[in-house]
Amino acid sequence: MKLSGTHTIGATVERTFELLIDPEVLARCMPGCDKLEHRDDGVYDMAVSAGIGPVRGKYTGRVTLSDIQPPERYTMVVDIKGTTGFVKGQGVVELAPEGEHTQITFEGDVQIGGPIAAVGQRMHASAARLMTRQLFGAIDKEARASEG
Amino acid sequence: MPVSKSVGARIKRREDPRLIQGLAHYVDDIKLPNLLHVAILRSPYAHARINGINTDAAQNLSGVKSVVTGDDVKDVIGGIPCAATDPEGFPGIKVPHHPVLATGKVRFVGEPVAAVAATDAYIAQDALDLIEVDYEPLDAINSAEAAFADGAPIIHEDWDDNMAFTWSIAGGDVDAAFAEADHVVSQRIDHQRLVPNPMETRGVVAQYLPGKDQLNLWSSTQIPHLLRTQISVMLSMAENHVRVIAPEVGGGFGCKLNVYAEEALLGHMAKYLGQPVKWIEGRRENFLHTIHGRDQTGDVELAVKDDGTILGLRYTVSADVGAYYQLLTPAIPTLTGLMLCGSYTFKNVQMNLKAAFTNKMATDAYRGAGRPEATYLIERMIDVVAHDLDLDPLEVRRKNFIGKDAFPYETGTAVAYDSGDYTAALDKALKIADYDALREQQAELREEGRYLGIGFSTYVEICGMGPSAAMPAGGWESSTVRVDPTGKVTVLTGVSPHGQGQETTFAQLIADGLGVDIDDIRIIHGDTDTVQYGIGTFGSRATAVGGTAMVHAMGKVKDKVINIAAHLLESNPQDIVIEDDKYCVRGAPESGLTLGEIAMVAHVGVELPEGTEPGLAESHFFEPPNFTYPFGTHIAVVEVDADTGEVEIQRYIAVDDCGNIINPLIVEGQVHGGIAQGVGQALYEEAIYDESGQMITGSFMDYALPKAHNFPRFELANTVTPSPVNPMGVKGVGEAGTIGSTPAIANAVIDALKPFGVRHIDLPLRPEKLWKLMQET
Repeated sequence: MKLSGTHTIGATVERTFELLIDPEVLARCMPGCDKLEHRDDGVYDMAVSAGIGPVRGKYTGRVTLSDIQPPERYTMVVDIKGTTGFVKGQGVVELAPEGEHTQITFEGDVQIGGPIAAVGQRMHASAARLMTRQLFGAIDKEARASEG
Repeated sequence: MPVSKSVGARIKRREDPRLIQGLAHYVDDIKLPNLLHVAILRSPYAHARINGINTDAAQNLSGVKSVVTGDDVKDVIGGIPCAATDPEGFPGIKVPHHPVLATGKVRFVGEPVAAVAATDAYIAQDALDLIEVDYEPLDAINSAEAAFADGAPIIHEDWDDNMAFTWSIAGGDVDAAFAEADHVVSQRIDHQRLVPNPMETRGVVAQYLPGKDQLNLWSSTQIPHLLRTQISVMLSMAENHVRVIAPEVGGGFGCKLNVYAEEALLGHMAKYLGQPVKWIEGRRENFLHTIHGRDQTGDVELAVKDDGTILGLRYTVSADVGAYYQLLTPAIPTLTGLMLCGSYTFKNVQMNLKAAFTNKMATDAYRGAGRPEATYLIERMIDVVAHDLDLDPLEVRRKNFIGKDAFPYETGTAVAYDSGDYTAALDKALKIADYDALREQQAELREEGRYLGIGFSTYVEICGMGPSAAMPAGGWESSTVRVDPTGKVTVLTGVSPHGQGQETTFAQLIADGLGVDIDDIRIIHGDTDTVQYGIGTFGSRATAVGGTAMVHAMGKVKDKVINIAAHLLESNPQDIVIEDDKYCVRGAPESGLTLGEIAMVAHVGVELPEGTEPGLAESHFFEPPNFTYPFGTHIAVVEVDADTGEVEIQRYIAVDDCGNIINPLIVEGQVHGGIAQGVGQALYEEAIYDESGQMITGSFMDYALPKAHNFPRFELANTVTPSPVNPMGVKGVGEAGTIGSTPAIANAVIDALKPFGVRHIDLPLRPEKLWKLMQET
């Protein structure tokens, strides 16, 4: 499944970038995030609870950030699995100034497997869009709160 | 068959009161003391190496009795069998070992990897979450095309490619036909993968009795005896120590004509745990790990003359059979080959099939099993010919029909159609439809921008399976007819009805044949300790073959009853007749004897004629000399909504000829359900695996089944051309509706879209697909 989109964050590129790689901020902002800990050098341990339709479950795994070029871009690899399946994905996140604000553009490819793949497949893309909107919306709030 | 007291009458199904009152006993209704519940861990990957399995945490969960993996059972449970692997029939066939639990590698999503037995079903399910499997994902294959591509990952590493088997059939002189043709009409035809979806999913209960060394296995199966044989082989048990019981079975449509991993696995677990075990398949498991149907894609070419006469057919096809074979996987496309000529006279025919291993569940018999592919293909192509040559599809059919005087008719594929009158069925359907008026209405509506379509299917199919010589595992059937001392009749039949109504139709035949009240007849099936060996219910065979076995056994009983009656009435057997359910001397009904009175004499054993064995029970094993070939004409009238692409079925006319009819109500029921399933394939259903081999249509939210509101009231009728293959003249009707309806609907929808220049559209004909086509032009 291809995922892409843009979001505007009410902060400078530098500030936005800091927020995006801060595990505490991400843990607060990511929908369903139970845990996000920076282990070493761009590798984060993650636990999330998520579900689509009747298939809900907990997923644990790892998020790896690489090719980090502050404050412009980084590559993110997600590899989590749980009792109801697995999610693997990778994508590139790019930041560009937009006046006082920052436009985030992301593009990636996600593979979903196991029981969650078999159910509600047509809702996966919209569920993913919803979750990214929630994530960046929450980060935007954090950014505006810390600015103000 | 003339309507007598019972046969031919619209008698309500005797099965239904218990079914609709919730009094039937399915596998899940079997309750045994100390029953353990089994849950199966299934692969989330389409293709992966298993580098290790850690079951410690699951084993330690309170309530868990046992966790087993592939390594635990690989030496004690044999492979899952396939009965159609003869290399003479399938040159170069590769037959991979098919373990009940994966070892080393998983090859499709849903493949069983481990099993947990626990004190309740919820604990068993929770324990699955605690099993850690170290998978190393591999690239997956989701189509035959991908399987045959250069550099494709290899699914079975004992070989160096994914070619499962090849198969071909040829008749006549195809090259000459194409050389002679005025036109070659070609089209790629896709038969999408389908999920059979019986109302009751599969389920198994197993119980081992150590004192008798006996395994009792309840399974929701169509083939209890064949299953017993295979289970005894897989578990290395003596076959006469294995008892298989098919209790009430809530539909099968072919998907329970099989031997599955869970059946052997639970048998093994019951024995080694010393406790009975139960596994009931969830609906999502059913989508992943009960066989699928169809999944062929091929190129058809027809050699045609200017006037629409068909001279020959070539079909080059790939079948995506999944990762392993189930019981009959390779045999299914061969039925397509046998029926490629349809109702038409051309004899130059060739089919070349290549079957591919892919990372999917196996395909196998699904209602129609190979024949829907043949019928859809030829019936669709008739319309394509009509389109290309600007002819009326009806006239192309008439021009090529096999005439009614040509039967028995040997086709180009060397099968012998038993009897038929294709024109009569077509004419009857046209009359019901008021065809000319429909075409006028279609023209008027087109002026208004409304798109009505009329589609035909003049199918012939192959039923009553079948002669043993043409079957992978026996095509005969068995029956025992017993009369108790009090005159009650018990029939033991080797077939295994699961919705077809033989408890009613068989009783109708006995009631008339023996002169006994229908309520005094009991039909027993599905228990291998009670019933003599039989083959089972599939391929529209139960009445044509199993019913015939019963009629022959009943004939032997009746001969004996008449002999005893003649002795008691001091008359000759040839003078004994049944009048008002009494055996009497012709013309003297007042001194007649009931079946009960004669049965009592047979059992008391004192007044029997000299040399007559006591008792009153006879058996018969019937070997049919041929298949039967039901046929008919289906006409669909649809309207495609120009704004939404939605298809509304306005009328559906089906004239089926299944030979003589024992119970019209049951025949209609079979046709109703069959049409619904065929319409499902035409309009809604499609099992889709994504590029990584995940099945993305694994629930009823994602896989559309037709619903009652999708259908008009069907307009049904029959023609009756008795079959010469059995004494009742019946042909079988379990699959006709499914086989006939898919092409009728497809042809109707494509006819509706003729103003848009549409020549062919692949199934299913979903609104988005049709709407896009209409927008493009």
